[in-house]
Parts: sequence; C-alpha cells; structure tokens
Amino acid sequence: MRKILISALILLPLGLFAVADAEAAKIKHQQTIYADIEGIALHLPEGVACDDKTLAVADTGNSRVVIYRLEAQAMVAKTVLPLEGLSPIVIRMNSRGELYLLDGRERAIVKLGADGKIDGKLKPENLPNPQNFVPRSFDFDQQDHLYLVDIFAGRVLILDGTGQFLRQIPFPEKHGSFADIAVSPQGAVYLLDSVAGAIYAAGPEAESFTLLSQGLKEFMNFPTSLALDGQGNLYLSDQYGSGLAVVSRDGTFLGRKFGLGWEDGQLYYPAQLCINDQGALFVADRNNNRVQVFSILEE
Amino acid sequence: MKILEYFIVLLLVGFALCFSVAVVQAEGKFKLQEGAKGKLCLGCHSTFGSKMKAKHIHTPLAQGECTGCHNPHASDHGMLMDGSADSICYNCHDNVVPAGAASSHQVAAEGKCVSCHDPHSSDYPANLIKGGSKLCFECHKELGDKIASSKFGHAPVQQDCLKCHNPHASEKNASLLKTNEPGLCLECHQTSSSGFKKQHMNYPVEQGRCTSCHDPHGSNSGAMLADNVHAPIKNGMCNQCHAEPDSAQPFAVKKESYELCQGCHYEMINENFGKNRLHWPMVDQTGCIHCHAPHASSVDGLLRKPMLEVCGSCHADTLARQERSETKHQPISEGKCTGCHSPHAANNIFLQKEASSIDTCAQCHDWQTHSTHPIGAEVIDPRNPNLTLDCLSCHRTHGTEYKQFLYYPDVQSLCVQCHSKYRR
Repeated sequence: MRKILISALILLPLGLFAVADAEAAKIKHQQTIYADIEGIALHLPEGVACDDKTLAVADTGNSRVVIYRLEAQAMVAKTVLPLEGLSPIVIRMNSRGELYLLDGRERAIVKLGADGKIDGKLKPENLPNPQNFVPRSFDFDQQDHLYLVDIFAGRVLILDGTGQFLRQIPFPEKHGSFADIAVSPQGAVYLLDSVAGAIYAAGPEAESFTLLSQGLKEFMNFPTSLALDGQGNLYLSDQYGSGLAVVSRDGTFLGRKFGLGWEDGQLYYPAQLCINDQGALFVADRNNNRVQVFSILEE
Repeated sequence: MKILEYFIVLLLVGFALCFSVAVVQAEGKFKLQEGAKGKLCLGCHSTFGSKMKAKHIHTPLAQGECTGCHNPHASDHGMLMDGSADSICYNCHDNVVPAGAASSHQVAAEGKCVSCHDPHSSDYPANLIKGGSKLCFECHKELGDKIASSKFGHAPVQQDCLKCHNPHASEKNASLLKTNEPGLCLECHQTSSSGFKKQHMNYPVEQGRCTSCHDPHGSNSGAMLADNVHAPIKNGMCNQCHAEPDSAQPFAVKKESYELCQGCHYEMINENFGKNRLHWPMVDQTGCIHCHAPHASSVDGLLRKPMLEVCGSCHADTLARQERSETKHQPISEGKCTGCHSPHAANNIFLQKEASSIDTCAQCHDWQTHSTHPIGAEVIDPRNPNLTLDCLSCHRTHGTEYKQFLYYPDVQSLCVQCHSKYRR
C-alpha cells in the first residue's frame, strides 16, 4: 500500500507536467504596428522577420521593407527600404541580421545588403538535376545554411551561405501543396502542407521527410506559415481561417488562437509569422494592413 | 458404470437442446402461431397481393418472413421497421460495399437502398425500381441527356451502365468500374490492328488511360474524343510533348511542369509570370495539369473537371464555407470562380481580377441601389485606421453562417461594430 502511495506521489506531478505541456501557451497582445516612421500606412504586409531587437516587415503592397527596433519595450519604426518592382512575400533574417526575401513577382530569393539595398538574387550552384527551381519559401538554420522549398522539383534544397548546394531532401511522395518551412535550432526541418493540412518533419541529417501531424484541416482552413517557439512548438498561421494554430513538437494539435476581426488580437487573413528568442510573436496581419506583436507566456 | 451414467446424461442434454431449438424455430422470436408468419400479415395487408404477383420477390417476403425486416408490435423506425432504414438491409447484404472499397456509390454507402430497389418485389431483376440505365439517369440526369444527345455514342453505354460499372462499389477501381482501364476497354477493343496503331500515332496507348482522350459516355467529336481536344492531339502531334513512340519511354514528356506548356503557351505564361501574385500550383512539379487535362476534356478550357471541382480540390475549406452559408453566392453556386478570380496570376490579393473589391462586386451588384452606406478609398474603417470601407468590410463573399454573407448574426450587431455608441 505504501509503495502504491509513494508511486502515486511521484507520478502525479509528472502527469500534471505532461498535461501542462500538452496545452497551448497563453498569448498576450503587446502592440499593433500600422505605419512606418513617417506615418505611411502598411499595405498588405505578408512577411515578418525578427530577432530579439529587430523586426523587418515585408510591406508587400508598398513594395518595401520597413525596419523596426525594440525601444522601451515597443517596436519603433526606423528605416524604410524601398524595393521598387518587387513583391516581397516572405522575409527571413539570418544569424548575422542579414535580410533575405522571396520576391513573388520573379519567384527569386533576393538578398538585401547592409545598406538596405538589393544585393542580388540567390543563385544556387552545383544543383543536381533539374537545374531549374522555384522557391516557395525558405528558412535558415543556426549555421546560416539556407533551406529552400523548391516546388518545381519537389525537394528542399540545402545551400551554404554562398548558395553552394550541400544536399537535398525530396518531398514526401503523396502531398498537397507545400507553403512554408521552418528549421529548429537543433536542425530539424518542418514542412507545411497547406492543402492537406499536414506537417512533415526531417531530422538534422535525415534524407527523407516523415509525417509529423495530419488531419489539421479539422482545426484550420488553409495554413500558410510556420514558426517555432523556444519550446519547439509549431505555430501555424491559418490564412483563410483568420487565426493561429499551435502544434506540439510531437505533432499533437494544442489549440487555436484568435479569430477573424479588426480589433487588436484579431486577425484578417494573416500571413507570415516570426517568433524571437524572447518569446515575442510577430504576425503579418495582411488584410488588416498591419503587424501585430504578441508575447508567448509559457506556463 | 460411471461411464454409462455419463453417456445417459449427455444424451438427455442433447435431446433437450435439439428440442429447444426446434421450439424456437417453430415459434420465431415473436412466437407466432405455427404456420402464421407472412400469411398472417397478408391477412390484413391485402394490397400485397399484387406485390406477390411481381416477377421478382424479395426472398424474406417470398418465404413469408415479414419479421425479417418488420417488427409486428412496435418500432422506433417508420413502417415498423425492425432497424434503421439505412442499415437494416446490411443485416443480410453485408458485403454490398466492401470495407476499404476504392469507390462506392453514395446511395449504397449511405444505406439508401430503396432509392434503387423495391424492398418487397419488382418486375425487374434485383428488385430494381426501373430497368436498365433509366434508373441511373433519374439521378445522373445530365449524363443521361448527354448520352442521348451525343453524336458519337458508345454502344455499351447505350445498353446498360452495368456493362462497365458496379452499382454498389468497386473494391479496387475508381468510378465504380468493374475493371480498371485500359483493361476494361480492352475487353472489347482490339489494339493489335495496324489501323488502331496508325490512329494512335504508333504510341502504345493500350498501356495508357483511354479516358485521357476519349469520353467513354460518348461525345460530339469523332472517335469519341472528349468535346474539347488539345490541338497537338487533334493534329496527331503527340510527339510535340511526348518522346517518340518507338523510344524506351514513349510517354515521357519532353520538359517538366509548366516548361512543357510554355513551348506553345509562352505568351500567356510569360504575361502571368510578370504579375505580382502567381497561383503556385502552376509552377510546381505538376504544373498546369493540376487543373487542365493535357489531352482532351469534356469541360471548356480543357479543365480536368468542372471548375468548382477543380478549384475545390485544393480550396475545399472555401467551398465548404459556401455550403454552410445561409445565403449562397451565385457565381460560386454556378461554379464560376473565374468570374472574380484570375486562375493563373494577378497583381491583386486573392488573385482577384480587380484591385478593389468594390469593382469586383460591381460587375454584378450596383451598390448604390443596394445600399447608400459610404464606401470607397476615402472612407476610413473606424475599426482599423489602415483600412477603408468596401464590400468586404461587412460581407464575406464565400459565405458565413449568417444571411447575406454578413460577419455577424444580424444587421444591428454588424452596424454597432463601427457605430459603437448605439451598442446596447
């Protein structure tokens, strides 16, 4: 009897911990960003890239990137980087703070220089056949290797900082349409299938993807963007469902956040997400012409 | 001695068991009078006399086993059925839709057996309500009309749908087909003749899918090609896209994805490539043939299926919203997605043809007669300083759970979102 009681006392906290881990963290609204430093309104922003002190917004409708810096607990507009003729739809920042964006018009990865000007297009070199590729999204790992979703050849290309081909992971055989990718600090690769409502994962050195989570369509309409928090949970932007969804690292659906609307804390066709090391979550609230900043409160 | 006693006991138990089974069989679960069964029912249900004269009588009825389906005393189901109408048939016919069937007839899968069968009797085999394909065309009317009006008909189709299709389910094949193609077609069509080979440009089409060019239900094009034929096929130029017929892989395509189509459709593709927003499937591994049939189609624009089905194959959530919506949006109901959206590329959000949703909606709706509420580029949305008021400020075009595609259950709830001083 005593043994049973002792076991129960040991297992109870572990059970509570497991339950807590299985729930989505609370998310608190912090700030809504509507404009650049001159008060010019954002227009259909689709991309957000972030680190602990900087936010870069791909202000798609205005063909520009707007840079914000953290000052006194709020993001303050600083710089505008005009990108005439480009349609930036995804933006990422590598560990050195360099910005790369996906231009929807040319379907090319464009690098921005330190001065904010276009520093050329990414040209992958030594690609195995086919030579052609069409980038749908991309992300960086901690070594600044670029992971590119090549929907033309059905693969994820892994390139070094200079664009040299390192390796590739083929798409899983049966899939819908891949829209985004996220790479964890440990090097795990996550691939988001918008049409099937599924997430695939590949370990740091894996040569193929395995299904991590399927049937997400039951909880969301059309997820288009993926971001990882510090706990390894996956945050999905449900564009047509105007909300976010949270999935644990083992693929368990943890819950939905937010709903359609125009007030703070509501979303209207959200696009890219970004989460920094401080747990700040940035959402390109596309059809609300703004970016919302939240803090993820781990319990 | 003990062995003898044991055998006597065993014998008595055996007799008792046989006797009890005989009693149960005689009386049935309703303990009817001996010999009563269906005969007793027909005493009152005299109109069944004519049913009993039909050519084909459902076995339980023929054997007088009315209680096989009906409870003579009381039931929670209509017609005193002894079980739910959508499952009772499966008590005996449990193999009609095999588990894991590749395709199943919706009515059979839903247990709506009486849509096709008379549960008592019929003059048609299998107790069907009508004979032959007439029954099928009661639901598949459009197909029936097409078959009837096709200039070039397919003989088996005109005889009986069941020549090619299983009526309930197909364990291994799509579309309820008895055998998958080309096997099904090759049961009748000889492919070894020089004429056949010549007609097919010497490609080994007997290894391919016949329906990628031919409409098995008949068409208005010669050789029963689907009504819309891709020009290279029409001109016998299969090698414009495919390898030569005598090569190792004759069906291999010369280029991948959109690059193959770009060879001819370069103007259209290049024009779309210059726009801000591309429909991504167009440039993925599959490319144009996500939506278009490369050989022939019975749908305009060489679409693989009617537009609503093509678009719905990825945007099922959007169509589901329309299905749930209390008010239906006509272009969606009619499958005219391209009324508002540009399917390949656009400079506008949601691949809309027009930059402003007001202009999109104005193609059908004259908003000044619909409402005098100010909308337009000059009218700021009170809920969000970065938005101006347009049609989408109040309506969600693919539907909501409320009337008129409103975001809120009633007009009052909608208006007070902005006119907050009137909030109750």
